[in-house]
Amino acid sequence: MRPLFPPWANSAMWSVTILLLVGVLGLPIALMVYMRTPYVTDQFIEKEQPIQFDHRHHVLDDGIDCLYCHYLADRSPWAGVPPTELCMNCHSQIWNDAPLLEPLRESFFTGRPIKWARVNGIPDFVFFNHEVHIHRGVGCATCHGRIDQMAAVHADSTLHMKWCLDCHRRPELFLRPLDQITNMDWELPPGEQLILGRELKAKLSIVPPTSCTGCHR
Amino acid sequence: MVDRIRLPIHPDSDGADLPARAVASDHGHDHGHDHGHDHGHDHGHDHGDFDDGDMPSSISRRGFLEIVGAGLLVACEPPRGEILPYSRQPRELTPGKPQVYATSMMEGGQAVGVLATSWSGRPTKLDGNPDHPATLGGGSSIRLQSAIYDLYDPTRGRTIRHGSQGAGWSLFLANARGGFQSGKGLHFLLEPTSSPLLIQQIQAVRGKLPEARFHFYDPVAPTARLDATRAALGKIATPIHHLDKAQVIAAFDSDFLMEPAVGIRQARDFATHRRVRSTADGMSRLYVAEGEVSVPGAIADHRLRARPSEIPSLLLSLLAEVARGQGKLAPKQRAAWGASLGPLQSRPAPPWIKVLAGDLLARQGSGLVLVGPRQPPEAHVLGYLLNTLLGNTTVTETFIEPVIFEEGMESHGLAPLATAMSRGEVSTLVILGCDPLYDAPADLDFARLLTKVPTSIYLGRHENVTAQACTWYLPGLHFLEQWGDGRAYDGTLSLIQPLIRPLFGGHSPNEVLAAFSGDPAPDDRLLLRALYGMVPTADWQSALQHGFFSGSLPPLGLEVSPGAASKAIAAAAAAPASAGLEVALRPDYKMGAGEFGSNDWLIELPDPITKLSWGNAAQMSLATAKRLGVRKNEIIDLAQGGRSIQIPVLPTQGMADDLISLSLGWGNGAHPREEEHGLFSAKMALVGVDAYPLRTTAAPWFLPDAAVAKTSRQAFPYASPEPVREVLAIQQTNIDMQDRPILLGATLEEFRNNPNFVAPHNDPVPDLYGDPWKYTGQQWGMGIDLTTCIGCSACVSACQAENNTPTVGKINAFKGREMHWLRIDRYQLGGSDDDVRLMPQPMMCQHCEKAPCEYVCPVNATVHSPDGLNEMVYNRCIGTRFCSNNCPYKVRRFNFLLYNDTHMPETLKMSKNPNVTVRGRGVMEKCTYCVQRIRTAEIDARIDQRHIREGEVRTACQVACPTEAIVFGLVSDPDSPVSQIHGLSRVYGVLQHELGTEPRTRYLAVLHNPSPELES
Repeated sequence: MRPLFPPWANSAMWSVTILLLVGVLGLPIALMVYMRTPYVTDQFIEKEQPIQFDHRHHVLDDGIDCLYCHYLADRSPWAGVPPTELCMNCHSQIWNDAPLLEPLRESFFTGRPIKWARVNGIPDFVFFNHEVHIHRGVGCATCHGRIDQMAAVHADSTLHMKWCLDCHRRPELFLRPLDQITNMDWELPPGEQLILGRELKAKLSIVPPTSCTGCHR
Repeated sequence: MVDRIRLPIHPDSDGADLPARAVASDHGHDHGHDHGHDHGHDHGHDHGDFDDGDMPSSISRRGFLEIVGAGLLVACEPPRGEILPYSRQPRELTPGKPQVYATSMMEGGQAVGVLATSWSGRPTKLDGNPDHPATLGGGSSIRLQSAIYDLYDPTRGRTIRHGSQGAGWSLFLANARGGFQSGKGLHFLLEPTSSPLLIQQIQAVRGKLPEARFHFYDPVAPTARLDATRAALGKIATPIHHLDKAQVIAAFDSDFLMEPAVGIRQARDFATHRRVRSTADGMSRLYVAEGEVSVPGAIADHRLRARPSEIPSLLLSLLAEVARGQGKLAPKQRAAWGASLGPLQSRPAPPWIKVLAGDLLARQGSGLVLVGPRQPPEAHVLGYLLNTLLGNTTVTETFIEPVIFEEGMESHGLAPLATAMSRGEVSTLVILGCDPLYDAPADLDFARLLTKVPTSIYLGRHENVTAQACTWYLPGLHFLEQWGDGRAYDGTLSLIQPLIRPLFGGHSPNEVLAAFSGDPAPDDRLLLRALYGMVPTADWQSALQHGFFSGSLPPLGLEVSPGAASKAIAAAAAAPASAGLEVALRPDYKMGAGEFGSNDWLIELPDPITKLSWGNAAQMSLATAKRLGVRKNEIIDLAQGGRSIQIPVLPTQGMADDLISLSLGWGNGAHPREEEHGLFSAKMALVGVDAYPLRTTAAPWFLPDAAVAKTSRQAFPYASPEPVREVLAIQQTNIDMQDRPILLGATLEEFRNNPNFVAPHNDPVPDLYGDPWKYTGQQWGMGIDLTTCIGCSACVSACQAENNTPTVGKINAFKGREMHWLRIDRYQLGGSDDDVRLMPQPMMCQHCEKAPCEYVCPVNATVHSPDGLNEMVYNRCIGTRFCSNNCPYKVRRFNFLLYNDTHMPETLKMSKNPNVTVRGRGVMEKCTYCVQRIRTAEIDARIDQRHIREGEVRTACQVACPTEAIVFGLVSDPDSPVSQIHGLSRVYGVLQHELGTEPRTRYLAVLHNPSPELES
């Protein structure tokens, strides 16, 4: 009797089955991987800003502390971008005719805000508070990376919930002394960090919230 | 997930054009906001990031959902956008932190203290000013809480109009300045005012234009009360009631707990003698005689159902009973009044009055007779006389100079203006803030009179019917946008300072009046500063900071004259009780006289008694409805004196028979709403029914001999031969507890005999789940004293303002889809049919330690926190509604539709609290114990390396409660007020014994203090 299917039907059936399986399992996995890539998280993507502000120059060359400009970071939930008049504290004296700083002067004299491009963003149902992190031994560089080495600022972390919880569950891996918060160079070997972290955790009685309403309200 | 919504950016030209106005509060408007949280509008259900570092070894429910949900994850993107820092940041402002300013709100011309919370120049929350005498302790009312909506109301008028064309302020100024010579023909119509600034300007206009006339009109002004003081005391005076000194309170048709301007303070004072902690504590006794069910009436110890027209005769009976017991009166009173009371002794009195008289006589000097403002002058005189006889005057009732300008004088009321208008003597009419076309008595026919006036100018927040009939329209201001002043009920001079520059342009009455007195560029800040110019700067700053200048008016030593008393006795004896069907009009709890007619929060708020939202109805007792043969929802023709209205019927338990109650303030044509009818297209409809067409100058409150007819109107979409029905969106339709222990109560006597009467409801319950979780460390909880709760609903409004709760519209409210996290239930506690006691019970998420909702959520969107909160995680919720179905308290609310529409007007977005997520469609939500306040306090404590202080976290409902019935705090601290309440013998958890939910919100069983003589 003549077979109902030709011999190649076997390989066709297996190929289609495997393709379907790979599709069904692979597509969600691919999407989940995609979600974690910089295409979506914006991690490591440098943003074009209205003024070519160079952190390397201001931090390394001039030695300006983070909290001079981002002075809200230790007193408000928002770290904030400084108001124009704070830039003008210096730039009314130096580079006060630089064409590069024209948008700054325009903002100062018209009262219109400079529209900076957001680099680090979290969804609206997440309530992050800078103030408490600064006062509880989390350094700027822990989340924002080596801002002092960035020509144009990029996001250094994914800001995914897993990333937050990594620290909230084991803060001793990241804590630093309160006088080293804005120090960009601060780094300890892993062993020493663990010892110091545990010490700081006990001293400051740090119990980071890990329940939902700690961040979602 | 729709989230915190984009704030509108105010073009900076805005700031450049206008003169700088505010000193302490005018900021944020010409600056950018941090747009850090502007995104996420278009996200689908955002499952965030499920990774938590604890990936299970086999596939779990959550793991499965993670994979299933992965397809949706493409919708998750990090918020991208701009950050707009200030160009020049105001010195007093820390972006990201709120600021609180003291200001004042006017109710009936009297000031109420307000603390306004502002985020970067955007006020979002109002509370009572705890230092202000009208809001002592910081309590508030539904109107104070909801007033913030009026600021952002998108229907506010925006442009100056002259005729049918747009015009400018300068054109108006030019018109106002010229051509009035002596002011003949120039008339002003204002709301009653106590503002020294406005008074000064009125005097200035009178000085410059001596023939100009001023009129004041408030449709619900207490005119009879003032007439009575003039007749009985010889001068117009305002009575002040000191309920904190009253042990026996007899309220005759008096809604003293909800009265505008004084209700908040009176509720607080009333509660001081209702707060029973131990069996040794005493309790005041409240008698209420009334026809409608009022807030004090519903919680009264003794309530007598009587039609409002019968109240004077009841007062006379009480006086007769006091006369019979005059041997117990103080010798001085007996000597002065014995002779004139003699003839009364033969008048009979019902047993209720006898017992009341006995109580008042036994408590001389600590009793109080209150007569409601709707009653005729003779009833008030009898009330003053009773208080004098019983030694209550100077203790619980004092009199002060009226705080309202020219109150009780001929300039008050519409009659003189109407006469002048009908004679054609009015050439220019300036209306500042009233709405006479809507609320003037029907017999005046104000609309026709207004056509005889060549130039009419209207200033108000809405372009309402009056504005449309006027030749000029000027947009008005909200009190958060203007400078001003006013006096509180006791004379305390209070200040109004703006928190935001006018959103839609607009001008204050001060500026308009200043224009008529020749000011070329009126500015209310400069006007106010000039008035208080002699006040030293430091005192001025301090007064601005506190919201008022300390000091109230001294009591006047006034006495009831015997002549007036005998006249009042004769008048009360002669007045026949009205026969037939009586109609009683009353200001609405929510709409007032109509001034809150466009406030969606108030429109949707369930009425404190009937739980009716989105409208009013003809309320009548069950017996009367049966007698008339009408049923709930049926629309009737209600006719009286040749006028009629069509209104749906709402039988209400507790009303007097043969009485129909109508609340004013609804059905204002200026505020129509879109009405949905299933899938049909929306049409514009009025909210509620306007009852003003029945009102006349002669009978402003009580109308005798009304007739009811079944209506034959056949209107879309109910074209059918059946009786015409209306949809009444009542949010609680069953007041019967059906033998379930929901609201427990006892009398004071029973409590003293058996302090543990709730014990059977607190017995331990066997539990299938065991006890897997031990709560350690800081624990939160709430205690609610049902005895001091008056059911005023201020907490409901406060919760709405704090937690960004949307309104849902009439049809959705009718379907039970209202979103209020906190509701006030009313349950029948004793009695039957029309003789019921309707006790209020605030009901919100009980934060059960063993929460039924948590067991059934498939995605762990509702879970428990270590500090005992039942957490609701919006970004996890997929909207199965299992939790809501499993909640025995029915406190979970589901976003069936996108109520927080992303396309909502920009101003409404500004009203949102930036610390609370704005929820989108398909998400469950519920009371969080104001977790944003808890976490903020925790952060503050962590920064300072200390523990949370007692009182540092107060929920929005707790702050708003005028009687301090709601207490929140740490139940883990044995000394905290909430722990002390949880430790009392009367405390119980609702359905705790039946379901074993271990709720963290516990209630103090309600106590009543009835007289043993009446109970038996």
